[in-house]
Amino acid sequence: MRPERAPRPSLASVQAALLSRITGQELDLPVLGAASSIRGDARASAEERLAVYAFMYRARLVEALESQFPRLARLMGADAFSELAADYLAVWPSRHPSLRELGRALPRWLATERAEARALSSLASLEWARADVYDLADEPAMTLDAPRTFPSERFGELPLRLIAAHRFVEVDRATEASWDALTPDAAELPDAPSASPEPDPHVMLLVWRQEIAVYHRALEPEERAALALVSAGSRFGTICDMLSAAHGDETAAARAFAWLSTWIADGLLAAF
Amino acid sequence: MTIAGTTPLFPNLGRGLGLRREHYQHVVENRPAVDWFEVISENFMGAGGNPRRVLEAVRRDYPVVLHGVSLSIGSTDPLDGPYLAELDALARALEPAWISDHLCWGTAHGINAHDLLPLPYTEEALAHVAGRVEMVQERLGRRILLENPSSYLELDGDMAEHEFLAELARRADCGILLDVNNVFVSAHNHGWDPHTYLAAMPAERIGQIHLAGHSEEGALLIDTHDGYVVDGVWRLYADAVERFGARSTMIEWDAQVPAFEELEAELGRAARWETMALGERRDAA
Repeated sequence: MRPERAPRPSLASVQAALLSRITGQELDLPVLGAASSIRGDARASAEERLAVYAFMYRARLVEALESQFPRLARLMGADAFSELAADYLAVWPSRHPSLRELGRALPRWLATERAEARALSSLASLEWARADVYDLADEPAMTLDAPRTFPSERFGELPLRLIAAHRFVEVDRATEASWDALTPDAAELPDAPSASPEPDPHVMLLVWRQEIAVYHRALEPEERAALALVSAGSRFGTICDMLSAAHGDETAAARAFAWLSTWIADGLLAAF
Repeated sequence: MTIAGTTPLFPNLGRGLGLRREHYQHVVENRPAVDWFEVISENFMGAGGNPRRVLEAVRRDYPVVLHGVSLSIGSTDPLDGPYLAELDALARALEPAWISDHLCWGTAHGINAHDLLPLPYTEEALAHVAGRVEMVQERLGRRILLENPSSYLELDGDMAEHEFLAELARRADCGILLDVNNVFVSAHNHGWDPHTYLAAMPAERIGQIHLAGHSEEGALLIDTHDGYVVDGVWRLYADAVERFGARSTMIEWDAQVPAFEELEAELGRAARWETMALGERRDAA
């Protein structure tokens, strides 16, 4: 008489158990030994076969994070970055079908979990902002024809709107300063950030994409305030009013037109 | 050997390649003599920027097929509505010859392993996956193809993978993307007979064939897509062509990607194996 076979676990419970073993995530489930459903043989045991998937899971996701934060990885070194990535994935496993979203929470997580190394979260914030605008929707940009053909008597009503592919990101000055030195092909690395108790001065950066290239540059507080007004739907006249209050009409007009010219040349304003 | 005489459900596009970032510029600027390109759907779901421009430029000159890795058709998590909406939008913009994904699952409890995990080949899983394929085909308004995965473990089940896949294709009325390297790898890893696997495939439902390189890891073979197609896989490919006739065939090479000319040379090898196998097929007929 054959021994009675235990009822086969459901598809859902097999998948939950297997995924838990592969990713290391503790799922809120009745415990099921995934290995009990896996056929081992002379080539490899069930545990060895599971280990292949667990290894590939970590390698694949660490590699994806490295591609999104190449400068952070270079600054930290491969081993330290891999450990950091594993810690992050334990808290923020992927819940999106695209790996594109994998690193979205990393800068914020770094800022809270590694507060002593603010330079790392600062660098991660800039890398993520650049990665985030990389493939956002294209849209027609405003050209110089728009202000040239807009009725001069109503010029203050010129509508301004930022393209979607932009971000404002606050970083340490050291992040901005070390950016070029951290390119993958740079010969020498800058000094690793120290856990100084003195906070590094901050700078506000504008990150945006023009055509297929991603750029960033520092913003002075006044231009940042003006772009905040643009983001809120203000028209050109509101920018002039803001500047007039601080500098008088003549300086205000010159500065406002200079900004408008720069924003259009940079492809930062959407066509209307 | 039996030779299927039924009409294929999918057109033969010829010989193609996967469109990879390393070759974007070369393909757009030189329009190489490749019959078609396969693109990874998820890499182009962003609405703009360089990837989308490259894709649109390639589509102007070549037939394109969409190949996904995140449908997770075998998962017991609900189908991902926003993902399907993005896939549908991409397909409407691109008008691909077809859309494919894998016979696998990758998510549980909302967590995505970003892997092609094997199913237990049970009646429960078959009914589950068939129902989901029908839902996806309804949502996309077209027949999809599912690819046999490489696997490194087998779960307790009621049937062999080839029986599961053939019955699924019949029951859900979907196509099959036959990855010959995956058959080779899984057959080695689990002690299957790869020719038995091919013999079970419904010829008319095979719309595309994948070829790729793999690696050895201890006693197991790993589907790494990082090298040349090995002789055993070429011979298995010849067996497939002899059984099913010529099918849209492509080389997958995703890691340590070589110069484009190397991939073209590998496609040339595929052409020679196909010609030889078609000769055998005519002789047998």
